[in-house]
Amino acid sequence: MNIEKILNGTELTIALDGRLDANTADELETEIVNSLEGITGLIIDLDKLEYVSSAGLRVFLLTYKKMVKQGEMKIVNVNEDVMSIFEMTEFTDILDINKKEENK
Amino acid sequence: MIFDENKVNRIDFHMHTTVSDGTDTPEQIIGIVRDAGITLFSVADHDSIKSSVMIKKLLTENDPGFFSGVEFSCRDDEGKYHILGYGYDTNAESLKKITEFTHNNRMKKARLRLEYIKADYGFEFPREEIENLLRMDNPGKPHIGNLMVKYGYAPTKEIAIKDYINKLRVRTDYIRPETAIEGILAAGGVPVLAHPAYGDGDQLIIGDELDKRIKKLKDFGLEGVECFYSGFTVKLIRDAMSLADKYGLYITAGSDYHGSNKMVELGDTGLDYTKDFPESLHKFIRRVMQ
Amino acid sequence: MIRTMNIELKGRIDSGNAPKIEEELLEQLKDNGKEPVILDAAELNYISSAGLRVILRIKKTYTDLSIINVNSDVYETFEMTGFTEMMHIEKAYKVVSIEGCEEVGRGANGTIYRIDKDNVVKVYNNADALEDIQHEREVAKLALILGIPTAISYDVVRVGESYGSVFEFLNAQSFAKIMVNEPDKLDWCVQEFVKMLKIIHSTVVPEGKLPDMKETALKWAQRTSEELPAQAGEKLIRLFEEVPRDNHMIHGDYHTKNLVFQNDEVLLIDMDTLAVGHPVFELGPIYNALQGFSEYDHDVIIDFQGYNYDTATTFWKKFLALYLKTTDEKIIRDVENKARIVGYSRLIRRTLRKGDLTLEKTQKEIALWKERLLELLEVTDTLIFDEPADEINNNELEIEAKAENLNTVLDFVDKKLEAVGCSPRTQMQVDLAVEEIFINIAHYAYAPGIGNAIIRADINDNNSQLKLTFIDRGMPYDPLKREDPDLTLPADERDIGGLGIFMTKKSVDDISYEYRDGCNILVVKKNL
Repeated sequence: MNIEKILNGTELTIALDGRLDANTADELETEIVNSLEGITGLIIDLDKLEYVSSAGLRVFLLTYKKMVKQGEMKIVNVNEDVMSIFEMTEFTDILDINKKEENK
Repeated sequence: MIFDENKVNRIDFHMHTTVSDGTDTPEQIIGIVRDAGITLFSVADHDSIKSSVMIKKLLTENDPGFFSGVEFSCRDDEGKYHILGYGYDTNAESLKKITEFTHNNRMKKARLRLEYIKADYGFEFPREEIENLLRMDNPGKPHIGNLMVKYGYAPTKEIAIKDYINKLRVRTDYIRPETAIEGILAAGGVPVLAHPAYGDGDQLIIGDELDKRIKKLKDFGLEGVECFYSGFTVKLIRDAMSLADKYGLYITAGSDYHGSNKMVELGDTGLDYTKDFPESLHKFIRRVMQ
Repeated sequence: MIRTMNIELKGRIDSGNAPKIEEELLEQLKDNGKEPVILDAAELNYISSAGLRVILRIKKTYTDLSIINVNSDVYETFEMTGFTEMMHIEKAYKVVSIEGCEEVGRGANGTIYRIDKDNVVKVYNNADALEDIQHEREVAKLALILGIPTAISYDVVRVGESYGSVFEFLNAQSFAKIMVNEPDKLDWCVQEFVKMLKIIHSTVVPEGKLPDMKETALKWAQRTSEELPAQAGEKLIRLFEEVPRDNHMIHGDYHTKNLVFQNDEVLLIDMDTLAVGHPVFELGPIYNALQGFSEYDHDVIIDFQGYNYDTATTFWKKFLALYLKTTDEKIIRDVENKARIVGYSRLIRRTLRKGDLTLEKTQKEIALWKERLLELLEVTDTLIFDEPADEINNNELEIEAKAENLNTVLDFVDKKLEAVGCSPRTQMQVDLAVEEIFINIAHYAYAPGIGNAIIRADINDNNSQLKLTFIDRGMPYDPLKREDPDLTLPADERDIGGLGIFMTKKSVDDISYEYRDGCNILVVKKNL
């Protein structure tokens, strides 16, 4: 899985490309842990994410718990399949998750 | 106070002084605890809060951290329990009442025992010795046993107890576990079940039986379980911890040090001090240090 | 023999005498240096929690502590309280006599006698056999876990000065006996012989669980090379060294007395020599058993297996052809040569070490094997041969249960789904279920050890449903018992625990669990 980071002042965008599963989740966790200092706005861009399992959800939840102390976090450009996973686990109720826009 | 949550700490919340059946005085134990490298401790004498009161007065800034403790021997139809009380207000009425009751009980027992061994075996002691004994906070079988050895009535304390003192079945009133638990709670303390797998002496309580016991005590208001104990194997610690987890209880650690009366080392609780403490133990420490 | 300190525990240990017993024990142990301490509990009837505490305290000071001859009640107490995890505790062994009992088999480490109509006992040659017995039991369990049909000893007993393992054995006949009594069954025996060997050779063994046969084989080569002219010796060693490492199982001592037929089942016995390695290290000893040992004196095999040299030769030839799945003489001859090189090396070293070198016969045997070996070295440049392709059951994947293997498992399942044109959404849901279940097995089933998982993927006839079966031989665990996580909790109270199996349940159409024959079996069904 590819992880791309774009820093804009105190706003950080992390874009994921590929699959977030038990093997790649650790990598993501390390990346995020090392990048959050001083960040007030975190955007997780899942435009190119094909798949997420409970290992990935765990990383999102932990990141949220951290971010909420220093700012805001939102997840954007979620495709239908991945959205169904967020909905199934009702993560949509606790995190700010946004669908991919129609014309994209 | 030298307990620091961010450093490595050695703890021991279960030890006895001369106020009950330990061999070190409350003054001595502070030094012994410090020399053992312990940074946070409590003293849980049987049925008495005297040692906690004394120690609190004697502590200085350079001494290990301390919070009040006590151990009540309780009983009901289903068995015997040792209930520890931690972090209580030493002036609380509720505890005064219980300790008075248990003190009177022990006095009665001690007098009965002395009368019995005089009547049945002809063993007598000088009046001074008897007065000293009854002046103690909690005279028990070991104290009478030692007296018997001193005056040549028995070769060892153990034989004195087993072959003579125990032959008298002294029916005493025990307090019920819910009484101890409620008393501790009313005094602002935390009631904890001591060494959960060991009821009393020979009892072994594990598996479903232990689960039921803890559930029952929790319903009475129990808030913690002594999962880390010198006499526990890794499995017993594990099992106790999962029951603590199941019932949302604090975890504590204790050695049951009695000085030279028992061969237990101070600080030997089975807890690995180099690793992070379990969360429920941290929670307990924060609670009693408030 | 390491010096140990033996102390007896007698009678009862309870709160009445525990302090005294502790004092006495410590007094006796005072002079103990670093010697292991063994407490003999043969006469211990009862131990209460007070007694347990004494043992625990002693263990904290004298860490090399074990307790032997424990009766079953006391053992149960030790087990329930976790003492058996913390130190070596042995039950008291029943005493069994083999006087008048029929010898039914012989392995490298011991001899097997029938003690009654239902049971046999393998008596170990070495009186210090407990470690061997433990090793064999563990290896047998491992083999069973990996799918090799074998017998597990259910009891350990004392036989005279030694120990024995007791096995349940009804109506078992070794293949050697069958070949003697029913010679028309020879072809059947070869078939089963090969079938079992294939099962063994296709079994992947997790790293470190079994010894590497190559190391042992190199010793054969090294010793033998000392008996050969320099160039030939060097070549021999080189040939052995060039055999690649292999993590597939080999038996190490495979012959017709190690295979038995019982209740319509073929079982492998004598697991002492189980190892991993290239099949050529297996074929060498097989050659020896059937030909090599009796190459000089054809009568040797009659004592060893019961049938004669001609029968053995026929067996060997048929075996090779069937094992290599070919009738091509050239290929068979080639592999036979390699097997013989390995075989002779082993024979020569073994005989030099254990044989009576004063006997003329022994010297002649060694000379014969050397001669043959040198001939073969002239015409052989490698010990490696191509193993025939196995009919892999391609609906089943057996793989070591570790997280790194997740992608292999996903590929295996996804390929089948792609073949029937499954939608991306459905494939994702199947992937979720596979990941959660496989990772769960990888993390917990065998922890802290490792083991294999079997994944079966079957698609029904009209391609409308996928059935996945996950099998592991780890700790019994029913994932369906896990309570669903509370999804209504706010973020700071949400927990990840239980989410995985919850997601799995929601992603599939049916899920069921059973524990059978020592296996966790989880079956999920997904409509395609």
